[in-house]
Amino acid sequence: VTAEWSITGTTLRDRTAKAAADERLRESLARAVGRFGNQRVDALGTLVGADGLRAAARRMRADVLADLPAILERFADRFIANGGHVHWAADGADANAYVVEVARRIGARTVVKGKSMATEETGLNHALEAAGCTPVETDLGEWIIQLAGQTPSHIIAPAVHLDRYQVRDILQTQAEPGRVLDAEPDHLAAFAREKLRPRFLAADMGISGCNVAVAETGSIVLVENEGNGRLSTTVPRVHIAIMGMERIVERWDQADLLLNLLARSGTGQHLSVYTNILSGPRRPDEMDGPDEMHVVILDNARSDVLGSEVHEILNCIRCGACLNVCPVYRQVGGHAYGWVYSGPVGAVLTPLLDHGEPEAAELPNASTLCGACMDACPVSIPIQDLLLSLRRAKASHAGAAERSGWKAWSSAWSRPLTYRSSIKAAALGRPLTKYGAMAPGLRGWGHGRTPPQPAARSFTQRWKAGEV
Amino acid sequence: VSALETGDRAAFTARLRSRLAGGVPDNVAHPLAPGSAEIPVIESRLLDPSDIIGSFVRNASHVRAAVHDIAGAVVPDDVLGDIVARHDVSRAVISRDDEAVEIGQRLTSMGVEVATVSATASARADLGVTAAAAGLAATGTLVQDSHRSGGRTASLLPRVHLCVLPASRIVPSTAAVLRPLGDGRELPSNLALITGPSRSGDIELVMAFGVHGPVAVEIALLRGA
Repeated sequence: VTAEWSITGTTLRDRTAKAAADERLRESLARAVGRFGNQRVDALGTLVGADGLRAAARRMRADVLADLPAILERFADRFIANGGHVHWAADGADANAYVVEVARRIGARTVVKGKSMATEETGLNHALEAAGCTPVETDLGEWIIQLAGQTPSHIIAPAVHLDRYQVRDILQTQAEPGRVLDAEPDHLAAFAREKLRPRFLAADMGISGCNVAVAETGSIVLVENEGNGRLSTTVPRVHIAIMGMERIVERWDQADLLLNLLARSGTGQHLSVYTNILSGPRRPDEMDGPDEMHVVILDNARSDVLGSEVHEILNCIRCGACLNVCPVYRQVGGHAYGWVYSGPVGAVLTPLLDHGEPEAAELPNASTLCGACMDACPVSIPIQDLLLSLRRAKASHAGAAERSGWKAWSSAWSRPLTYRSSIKAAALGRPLTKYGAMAPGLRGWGHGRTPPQPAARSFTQRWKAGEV
Repeated sequence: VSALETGDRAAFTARLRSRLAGGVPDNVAHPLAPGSAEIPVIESRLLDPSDIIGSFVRNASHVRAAVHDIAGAVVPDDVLGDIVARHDVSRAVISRDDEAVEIGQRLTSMGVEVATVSATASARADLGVTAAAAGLAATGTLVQDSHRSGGRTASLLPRVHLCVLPASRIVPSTAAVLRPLGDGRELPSNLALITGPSRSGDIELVMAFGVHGPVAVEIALLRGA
C-alpha cells in the first residue's frame, strides 16, 4: 500500500481531540453533514419501498461477490473486444507503475484527474510527479485540497472541512498578481472553470475512478456533478480508469438498482448530473473522445477481505451516507481517521487495506456501535458488526497481563460469593477509585474519562435491608 | 500501442477463487434475508404514469434545466433567437443529429458562426446543439449517444447546451434505457445521462453552476415530432 498516512506519529486520540477542539471545522461539518443527511431521507422517500430496494441491493452484491472472478473475466473479455486495454494490478505500486508506463509511452506531461478514491489509496499523484508528469485534480473539492496539500475529508465532498474564506485563501494563490478573489462560492467555481479548462485542453492523459463496471457489455460508469469526469475521459487522447476490483456488477439491471440508490444516498439527488457510461475508446465514426481507453483492475489487499468474516465491506458503493449519520464523524470529520477513507466505512476499510500502519488497527474503536451507519447504507452493510469483528480480532492479540486481568474479572463475577466480596471490596476502596484511572497501565484508558464510582452500599445489601 | 491485456490475469483470479473456495460466511447478527436474485422494479413517486411528458417537464425544471414546451415539430425561430440573445452566442457547435443540423442552418442565417462537432470546435463554441436519444421522465434526464450524435463534446464544452427532445422519445425512467443495454447490440463509446446543468456543492454545499460543464441546459421539447 503506497499512500502515506498524513498523520504518522500521531494517535487516534490526539487527532480526535484536536479536531473536536476546532470550532471552525465543527461548524463546517455541522452545516454539510446535516444537510446531506436530510436530503438523503427526502430523496429515498420518493422511491416506493426504498428499504426493500436496499435489501435487494445487499443480496445482489452478495451474489456478485460470490462469483467475482468469473464476472471480472467476463468484463475484461468484453472490454478488450470493445477495443479497450485491461491491466490486472495486484497492488497499488503495480497500478501506479502501469499508469506511469503508459504516460512515458505517449510522452504525457499534463495529466488531468477526475475524482477517484482508488488513486488516493495508491498515491498515484506522487508516482506521476516522480515520473515528471503534472497531475491536476479537477474536481473542485479535490483541486482545493491538492493546492492546500491536504487529503480528502469526506468520500464525496473532499473539502467539506473548509469554509468559503479558507477556500478563497487557497485559490488566491492561483490568481494573477493584483487580482483579488471574493469568497462567493459561485465566483470561486467560475474561477476554477477559468483556470482548469486550459489544463483539460492541454492534457495528454485523463485519469478517472470507476463507480460501477458492468461485465455483460464491458462498460464502466462514472457518476459526477461537475462535468470534470466527462472532460477527463473525453478530451485527452488517452483515458485510464482505476477500478477497485469489487466495483463491478454482472448485468445492467443490477447497475440500474445501484445507480438509483447511489446519488439518492450520497447527495440526495435522484440522479447525479452526469451518469457517464464508457464502453471503450472512440469509434471510427465518432469525432471526439480518447483514442485509447484503459481499465486497471486493482486488488490491493481486497482479496484478503473476500470470503472473510468482514467481506461485506466490499459491497460498499462509496456514497458517503454512513459518514453523514455517524456521531463520531459528525464531531471530528475525516482527517482524524488519518487515511484516505473516513467515517464508519473508513474505520473498517483502513485496517484491512493498510497493513503497514499499526495505528490503523485503532480505527474500529472510533465508533459507538449505534448502527446508524447500517440504517443509512444503500446496500445495508452491517458496519457495526464488522467493527465489532475487527475489535475482537485485535483483542485476541492482547498482551498476557491484559488477558489474565480480564480472565480474573470474568471468573470472579461468574460466582455469587466472589462477586459479592468484590463489590464489598470496591465499596471499601471507594475513596481510592478516583486514583484508579491513573494507575500504571490504566492511565491511557482513563484519559478523558470519569472513573465510575462504586456505591457506598451495594444493591444486594439494600435489597436485603428492604430499602428497594 | 502495447498488448491489450497486461498483468497476470491467471494469478489474480486464482487468488480470488481460493479465497471463495470455502464459501462466504453469513453475518450472524444480521443474516441475509431470504429473497430472490431478481432485481425489483424501481418506482418513483415523481413519475405520473398517466403523464410522463408532464413529469419530464416538472423534473427537468426542478434540476434547473430550462424547458421550452413546443407544440410543433420544429424549434421556432423566436425560441432560438431568444437563446442566442440571452446567452450572448456568437459561435455554435452542432452534433450530427438531424435536428441539430437543421437548427445549425438557421443559426447561420442568424449570423452565428456554426461548426460541426469536434473537441476543437466545441472548445471555441458558446453554444452546443444536440438531440437526445431519449428523455427520462422520473428524473428529467437527457440521454446523449456519442454514436448517434457523432461525438460527446457538443453537450460538454460550450457554456450553453441546447438539446432537442422529441416527446416520443420520453420513457419513464433509467430502467427503460439501462436494462436493455446488454441485449447484444453494439454500444457507442459513450452514453451520457445528463440531469441539469453542471453543478458543484464543494464549497459549503452552496450550489454553484457551470463549474466545468455547461452553465445552462436549454431543452426544446417537441410535442409535435
